[in-house]
Amino acid sequence: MGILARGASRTVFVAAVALVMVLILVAAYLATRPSPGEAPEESPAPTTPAETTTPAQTSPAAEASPTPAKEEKTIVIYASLSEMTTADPSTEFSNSIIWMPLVYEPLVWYDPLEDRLIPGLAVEWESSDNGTVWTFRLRENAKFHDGTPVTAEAVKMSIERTIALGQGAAFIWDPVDRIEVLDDYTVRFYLKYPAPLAHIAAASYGAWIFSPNIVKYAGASNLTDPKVADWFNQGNEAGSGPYRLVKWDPENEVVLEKWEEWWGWREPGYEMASPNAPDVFIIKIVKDAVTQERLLLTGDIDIAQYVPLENVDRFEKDPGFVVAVKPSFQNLLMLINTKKPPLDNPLVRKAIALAIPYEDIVEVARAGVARVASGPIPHGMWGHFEDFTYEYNLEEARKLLAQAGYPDGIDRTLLLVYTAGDIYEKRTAELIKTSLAKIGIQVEVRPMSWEEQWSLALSGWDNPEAAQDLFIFYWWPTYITPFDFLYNMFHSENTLFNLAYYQNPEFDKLIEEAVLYEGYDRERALSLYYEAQKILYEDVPAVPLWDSVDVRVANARIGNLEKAINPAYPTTIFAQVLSVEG
Amino acid sequence: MASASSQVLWLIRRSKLSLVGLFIVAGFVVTGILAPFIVPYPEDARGETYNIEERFQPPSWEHPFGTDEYGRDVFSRVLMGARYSLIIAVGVVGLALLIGIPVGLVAGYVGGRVGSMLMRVTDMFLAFPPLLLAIALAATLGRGLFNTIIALSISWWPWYARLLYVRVTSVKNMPFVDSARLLGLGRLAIMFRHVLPNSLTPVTVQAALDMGSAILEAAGLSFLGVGVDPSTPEWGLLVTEGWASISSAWWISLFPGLAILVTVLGFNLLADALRESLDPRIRRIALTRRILG
Repeated sequence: MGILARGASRTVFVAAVALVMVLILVAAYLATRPSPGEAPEESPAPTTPAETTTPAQTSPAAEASPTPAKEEKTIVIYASLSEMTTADPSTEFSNSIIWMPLVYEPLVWYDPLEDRLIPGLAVEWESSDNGTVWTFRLRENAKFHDGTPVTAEAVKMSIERTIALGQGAAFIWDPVDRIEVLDDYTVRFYLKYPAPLAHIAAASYGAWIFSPNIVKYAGASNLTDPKVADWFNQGNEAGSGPYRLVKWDPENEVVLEKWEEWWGWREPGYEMASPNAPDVFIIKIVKDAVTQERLLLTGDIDIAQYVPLENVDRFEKDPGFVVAVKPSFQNLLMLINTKKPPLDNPLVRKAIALAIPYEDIVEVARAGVARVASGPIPHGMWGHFEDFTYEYNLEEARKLLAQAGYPDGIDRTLLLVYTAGDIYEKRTAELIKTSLAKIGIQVEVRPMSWEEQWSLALSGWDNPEAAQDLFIFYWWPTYITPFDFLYNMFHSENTLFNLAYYQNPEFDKLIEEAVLYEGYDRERALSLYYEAQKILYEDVPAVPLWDSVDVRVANARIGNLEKAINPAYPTTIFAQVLSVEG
Repeated sequence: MASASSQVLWLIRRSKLSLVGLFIVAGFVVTGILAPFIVPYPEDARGETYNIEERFQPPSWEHPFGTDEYGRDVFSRVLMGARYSLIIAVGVVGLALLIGIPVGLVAGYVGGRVGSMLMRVTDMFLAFPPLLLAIALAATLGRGLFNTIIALSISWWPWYARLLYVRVTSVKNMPFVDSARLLGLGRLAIMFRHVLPNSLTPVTVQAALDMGSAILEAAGLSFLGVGVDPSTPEWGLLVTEGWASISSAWWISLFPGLAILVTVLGFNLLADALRESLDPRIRRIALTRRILG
């Protein structure tokens, strides 16, 4: 009687599983209170430096430094929600941005909130001929980690490798016709058409400068040899920044160590350096916000990339922690399938835009930690205007719907897709569904993996009837320009991300013209971008929902947290400007 | 009928635990059927509303299980969840029986090449770990209540087929089957009127036992994000949703978790008792013990 044994053991098993589930819930709750001596379950192999580190810094992390420490080293651990991707500075276009700006330097940094360029490897730059010729003067005391000086030749080689590989963010250099080395420390770019090259050189991807010796180190034949990329991805780097990469374990942690010979440490008054920057900066992968919060409370990490947003105010009240809140240039939009009836009617789209409770969405989805969007360009960025917020007005929405010929609502259920696993998108979708039902529009909410979602949306260019109706979608820029948002999501030629299938030649012309003025006539560019956004506001190919606000929570011993965050380089914490008490 | 009620009585006498199981299952079934009419906040239960002011309220008289991130009453959603779990339990086991019984019956009775072919197919399905197979199927079919039921029953039916097959192969050689054949009854009539009713006991017990497991696995699928639609108040989904705010609002996940625990436990207690009552050997031992004192 096999059933007998199976039945009995199954009862025990099922009861045990259920009991364990409840215990986990209770444990998770209790564990958010600090309890010393508790081992975090997510910890990787016990030999990593992170494991032997306590926030009190009572024990020097000997493994983290190859040379014997003269005194106790300061260590800061930053929890990242995502795994690292690649380590090739030319092609990386994803999560590794969290550490690259600490190891590599660009010619110029950009502070988008003050709309101000900050010298990086270049000390001076100027443009001439209506923004088609750009000359950068390099600092003479910068060296790569291998000891070779940062010269104009190295700059030319780095950017040419990025362009030649043509992957990741290489498109930012599209305006460049050729690069000329004038002398050891002067480099000149000749462009095909006017472009704001200093801002492009401050991009978050594809703008890093690296040592020309990589070909030799990798044993490769030339710069574009795949061996060079392999060499990078084995955990090697060739940057000139304030930190060196000493451990590359992309799925668990990345360990960076202060490089004493960086020019910035000795440059008096340089704003991108702090005398009390941590000696060791560890990026540890912790994949959910609840766990990050717990580790922060127990002192196993120093900075959390995300804690559950509902709990942010608890940390704000706690003197043991600091909270930094900064605008982020990531925004959430709902793209509307403009080719599928009845959404091809602008009146219907406008009615939808008026039937979305923007304030409530920010409150429920983000616990208030976001701003209601005004147009597709996020708050704090140049090109953002305040008069593009839709009013939440059900009466008006019903009227528009009736005017469009649907007085009793739409007779089919609209399909709204979002990325599975993203609770902010999920909550947003849930509220949109609830609210649209009030004007007689039924919505089916469907979570999909990003790949599935994107391929369904791409198929809409050929067959809009079979594609989704509404698409919840994040965007963030590669370099800070309104063009990045407007071109990618709304230009008729961009079939990759224009997933509203919006085609409007008048709009296309406006932004194509605006981008040419960016380099030398910002006012002109701005007024063209305003016109373009006004068209979008009337046509409603998409409903901008909210502009994200970044919240980082850290242990109170971390000073300058706010200064270490720059929305132009999302997720990065600039460890070199942190001020850490030992 | 008389024997059925005497069995129930016997059950209750035999163990208090089975009575508890009976109560839980009865309560669950009644809640499942009546949920839409008895929940205190029907709109919250259906997910048709949200209330900014009422978000993250801890348990109180007004909201015995507290409120969730949308300000919806968790109690109402858990009650409504019983309905989905009931549909899933009955749907999965019913569909699995619908496939498993004919396969096992035909394979066992007809035997020969047809029988071994059917059983090899069954074995193929049995070769996969059931939950893994269900996850793969659910991911392929996409979300939804119906798809979840299909995915789970496809990973489930082979157990019933195999169980019935073993039983049928022994029953078909019993004298009463031979006599039926000698009387000139057709194959189908023998299969359905004589063989099947006499082979069904182990499958029935297993099916009762599996009701609980079906609820648990459906909750598991939803928890992993391949189960029912996101706005459905299914228990596994309710547990997942609360996870994001577990550190400040534990009640959102705890109560649906407890609901799963209690219901599954109820089904298992009941099925255990049922199995014992239907198993002549255990029953005989128990009777002997009682007589001997």
